[in-house]
Amino acid sequence: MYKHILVPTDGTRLSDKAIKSAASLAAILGAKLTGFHVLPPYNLAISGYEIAPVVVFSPAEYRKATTKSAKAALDKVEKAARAAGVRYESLIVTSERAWEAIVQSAGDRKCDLIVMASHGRRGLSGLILGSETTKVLTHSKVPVLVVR
Amino acid sequence: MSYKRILVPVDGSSTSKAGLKEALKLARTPGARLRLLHVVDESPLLSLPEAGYAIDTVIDDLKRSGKALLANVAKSVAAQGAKCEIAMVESVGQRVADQITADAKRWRADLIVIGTHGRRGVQRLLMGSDAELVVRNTTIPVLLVHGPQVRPAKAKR
Repeated sequence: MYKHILVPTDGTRLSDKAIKSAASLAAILGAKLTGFHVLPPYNLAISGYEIAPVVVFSPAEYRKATTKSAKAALDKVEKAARAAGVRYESLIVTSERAWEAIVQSAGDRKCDLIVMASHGRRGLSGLILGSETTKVLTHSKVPVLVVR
Repeated sequence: MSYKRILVPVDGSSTSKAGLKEALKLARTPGARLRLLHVVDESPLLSLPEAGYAIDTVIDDLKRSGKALLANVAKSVAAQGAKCEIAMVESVGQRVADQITADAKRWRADLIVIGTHGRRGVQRLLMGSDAELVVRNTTIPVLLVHGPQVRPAKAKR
């Protein structure tokens, strides 16, 4: 059965559901859980550099803000893993395309199941999921458990 | 939370077999049972004018082959030591995916295991299939399993 479960999270409440399912499934199966978060790369366009005289985020500030949100998102997974008593690790990847990062990391880490929520949202602070779910479903070689 | 009531749609395709294989692994947990569901899909017939006069015969054929398929699959499931029951529904003007989600709800499934891509669509357009519709239409967790990669037929020289 599954030995290593990847659970991508964007920190939203919807991801919470996926985390909960993933953690309890990992506990039953004795699997390891890897929390996964995708950060969009720093991009001047989102800083408003060209339209405003003030740079909203410097690269350093951007990194700080996104790292913080990534940590907050992954902390939830760690907490769930701890509560369920399963082995845990976390992974943060910077990528333009969340689905690609998810599929690739699942392969790199030899995960044999991906647990995802079916709708998420997109936003500045690395909150990319949802429409990504469909793309993960299409490209993933390992089974994907979709929860709501 | 372990999955106890696992619904597996079967249509005889290689992807549906991949789904079943995965479901069997899950069904090994104590107390778990499978329900094999076959949806008799009449929708392709309705667009065939030729089917008009003989539609009942064709549907009967579909039902017969569906029954045979289910019996076959149930036998192999039982041989692997999993508990299972079989069910067949007709699509009666509804989409196959809707019949699957409706059955899952009626039976109170706590997991649907489904192979992608079922039977329709172009190889690359893996989603946009019954599997995707099932995911969209239900609040029950869905485990999607990739079937064997389908290679495009090589051009003959």
